[in-house]
Amino acid sequence: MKRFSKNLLLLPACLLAAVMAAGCPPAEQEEEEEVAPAGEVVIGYSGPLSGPAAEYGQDGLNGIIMAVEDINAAGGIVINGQVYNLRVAYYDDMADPTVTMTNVDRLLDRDGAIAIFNMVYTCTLPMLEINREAGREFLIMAYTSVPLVEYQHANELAVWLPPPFLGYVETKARKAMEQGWRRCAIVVDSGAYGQAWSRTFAQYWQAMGGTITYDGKGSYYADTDFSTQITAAMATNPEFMLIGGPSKGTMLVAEQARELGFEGGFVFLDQAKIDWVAAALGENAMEILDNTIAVVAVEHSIYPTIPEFTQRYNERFVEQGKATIVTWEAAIQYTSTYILAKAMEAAGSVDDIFAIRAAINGVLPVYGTEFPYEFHGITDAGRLHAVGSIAMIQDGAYQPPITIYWWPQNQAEFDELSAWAKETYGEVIPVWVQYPPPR
Amino acid sequence: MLKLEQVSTRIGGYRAVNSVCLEVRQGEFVSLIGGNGAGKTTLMRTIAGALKPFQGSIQFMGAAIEKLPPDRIVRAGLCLCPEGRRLFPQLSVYKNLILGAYTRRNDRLGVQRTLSQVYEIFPVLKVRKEQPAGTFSGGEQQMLAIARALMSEPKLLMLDEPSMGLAPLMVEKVSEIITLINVEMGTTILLAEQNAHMALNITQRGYVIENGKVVLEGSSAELSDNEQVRKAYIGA
Amino acid sequence: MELFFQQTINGIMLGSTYVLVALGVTMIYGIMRLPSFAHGHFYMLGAYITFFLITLYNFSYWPALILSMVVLFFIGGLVERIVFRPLREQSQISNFIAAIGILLFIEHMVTVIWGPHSHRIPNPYPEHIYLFGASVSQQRLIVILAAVVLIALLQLFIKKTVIGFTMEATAQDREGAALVGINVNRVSSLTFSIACALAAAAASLVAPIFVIVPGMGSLLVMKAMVIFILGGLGSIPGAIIGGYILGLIEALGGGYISSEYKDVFAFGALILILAIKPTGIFGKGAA
Ligand SMILES: Nc1ncnc2c1ncn2[C@@H]1O[C@H](COP(=O)(O)OP(=O)(O)OP(=O)(O)O)[C@@H](O)[C@H]1O
Ligand SMILES: [Mg+2]
Repeated sequence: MKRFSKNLLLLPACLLAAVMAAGCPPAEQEEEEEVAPAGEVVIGYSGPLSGPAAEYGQDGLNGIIMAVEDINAAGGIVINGQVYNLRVAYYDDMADPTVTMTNVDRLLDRDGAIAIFNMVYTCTLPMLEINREAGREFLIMAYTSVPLVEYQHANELAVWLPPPFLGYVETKARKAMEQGWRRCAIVVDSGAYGQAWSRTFAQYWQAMGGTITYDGKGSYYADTDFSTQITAAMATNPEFMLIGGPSKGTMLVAEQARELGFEGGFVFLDQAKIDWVAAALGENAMEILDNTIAVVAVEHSIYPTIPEFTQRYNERFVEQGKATIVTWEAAIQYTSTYILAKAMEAAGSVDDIFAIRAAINGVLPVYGTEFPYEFHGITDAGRLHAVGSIAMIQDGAYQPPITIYWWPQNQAEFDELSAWAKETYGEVIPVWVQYPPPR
Repeated sequence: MLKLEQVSTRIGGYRAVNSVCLEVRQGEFVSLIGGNGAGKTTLMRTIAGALKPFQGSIQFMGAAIEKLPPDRIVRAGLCLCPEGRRLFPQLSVYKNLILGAYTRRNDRLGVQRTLSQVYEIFPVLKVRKEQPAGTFSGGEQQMLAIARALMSEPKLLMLDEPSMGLAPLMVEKVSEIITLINVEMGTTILLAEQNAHMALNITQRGYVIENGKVVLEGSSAELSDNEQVRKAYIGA
Repeated sequence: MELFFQQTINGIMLGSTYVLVALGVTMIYGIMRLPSFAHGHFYMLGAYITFFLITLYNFSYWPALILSMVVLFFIGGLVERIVFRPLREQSQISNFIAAIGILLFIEHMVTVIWGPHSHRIPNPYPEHIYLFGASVSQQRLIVILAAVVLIALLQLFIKKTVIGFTMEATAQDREGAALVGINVNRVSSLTFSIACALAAAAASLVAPIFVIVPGMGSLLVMKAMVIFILGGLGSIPGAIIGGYILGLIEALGGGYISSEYKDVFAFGALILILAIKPTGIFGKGAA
């Protein structure tokens, strides 16, 4: 009896050993891979691929995938004669930070990712806590336009990709003032991002002498009917409404406001995509969106690379049902992935994270003459000098876009940049917004 | 007409009907006598298809019915007027009656004929046909339950303790009506009762059931004279 | 006054969808004692089928809506037959798990077929009209009127047809119904079918003014559950009145007090009404 039970105890141990052996390839095999003709570098991604933010997350992932495919097709990256192909490993986190952290563990331990892209601010935050652990370092490619986070969460292994939204806030507020509008009603998304945006806008707006007549919110992700808030907002006689959050909700708010008889203008948060909204609104779009100020649609960008990029993106993703429209998320992630690849080549390493991060400064600028987006440099805090751009719909047509430069330190630097832009792209309307804002 | 062989039914893990053999012939009026918890209700629900026996066979008019669902059994002409009446309390008297004839819903004329027949037997139902069944008194509800069962034009009518909870005068009235149904309408009846005195008075034959088993059977007169039955159920 | 009228219309329109979905939940509970958590997903599926018919087969709006109701009618009956009927004698928890399973299945299936992103049905009636100073889009008026018509038809069906009687009878006493010869399984199927068809109608009615996404039914089913409890479990008039009340509370509370707490008012109303009348508006004692 005793012996029997001993054998029984051995059984699970054997099983465990077998499972572990199956899980890890034997050592020799790994060595074989090292000398194989092409090495592999894994770029990780964790973002919302299901749930309400799925489309946004998918757009960003598409950009990375497309860049990786393009880079590999062009021969991968070459370091000291050794060729490396890139691979994207991605997991869905439903914009839930706890899931993000599980995904990060998987990406590091199973996939051996050297950099991880993330697109939701609240999910990026916990990643910033662990990306510098010795022996487990990784680069965070953070897609967030929340201003000043790169200072509040200073992290030498993080790169902040999109332009800070302060540039949009200030430029949109100025544009609204130019229209002669003074009375603003707010009906924005109740999420953290929407609220941060609208609070900032309200500050700028009031500082410029405007008034906020109504401050309401709605759940742009979950709700479909906003007529209650819009009716209340309209009762305060605003000249325009600040609306926005995800594009879907923004479209519904704009449409329902018109249905309820609103005739004023709209200012969109930068999250809402004017081209998506216009497409969803169908044939009445230009009527509904008359007097709307929003981030410029990708297709109206000044970059000459855009038509080709859009066409390839449509073939690769839109026609496969993986996206509805080309977005700035895709263009920014595409270009950032290129920067990452170039930085690895410049650093001469695919695994020295500090060296790769340091090399990014050297591979910039990249321009819209070659890529679907441009980055002119990087701040000391790690935010890419990303260009913002807004446009207004008036009299049934898109007006020429306004390009926002936020990194020049003085008028002379801005003038130089403006001159370069006009020379490179022809008709450009540049504006200068100071960031970090002067206090 | 109805023939049970070795029927056993479990309810809540308990064998409430145990190897029951029983027979009812065309036109007969048969009683099923037993005290509280003897198994009468369980047996009747088993026959009506609301419970499935785990053993034995039930034949009705020559066909096996022990596997049929209740609605098919009603359609075959066997209807149970259940214990506790099980009326539809929020529906009007009229709707209760119409639902009683649900299996005959395509025979509009026939249903109307039965309805007027039923109104004749129970005039109160006609007068108060719009009233919700739940607002009736216990006696009236019992009348309605019997009337509803008649609406299906059953060949065999099973009545489960129609006298339960009724005043003596009402019990008398109910037994008169049941007798009338058997004699005038020619409907075969199986009547379950604790009130052996009442049941044996009006039926022709009877079975005595105890702990799920048939312990005695015979003509009603024999049973009335039986010492055991007198002691246990009639209290004389 | 204009503002009040406008908010009231907003509330009635919200309430219309709530009522149609809550009626389904209520009927299913009445007949099957089953809290149908998957109902919001049948609603969503109804919208997708209408979308599918319009975009792929060039149906016009009304035929697509009716066909979507028919399809959901059959899907509902089928789900009752193959999922819930075998679980009839099982515990509540098995039914609950089955409902969650159905819900996940529908959501994933729709996501795989139509993608996670939103779609739109072209609005057949985009114009808006002015009523006593309030602006109402035609489609919103249609939602309100169509809901009234459907509610009235349902009431007529239940109160005036023998099949309708059998539904009420089964809800009031399932065994009693079986013993008079009603096929209670068929009544269950039919109830599920009708409930799903109503959900499809509600979803197809609002689809042109909203958008359709795989998650569109999740919040709605929560509200339908609130109405179902508010109205008194299984009470049809309770579901109708409760649905409109909830829509009005949201519109008026959200409009006059605070848009931030729009949904809080709904759930607050639930708690308040249950505190005053624990069995709900039309609840029947302790039965
Ligand atoms: N649902 C149930 N679960 C468990 N036991 C049950 C159930 N229903 C009945 N029983 C048991 O089965 C036995 C037979 O009950 P049944 O109702 O058939 O008796 P009865 O003869 O009709 O009694 P009464 O005259 O009181 O109606 C009883 O012991 C009863 O406790
Ligand atoms: Mg009994």
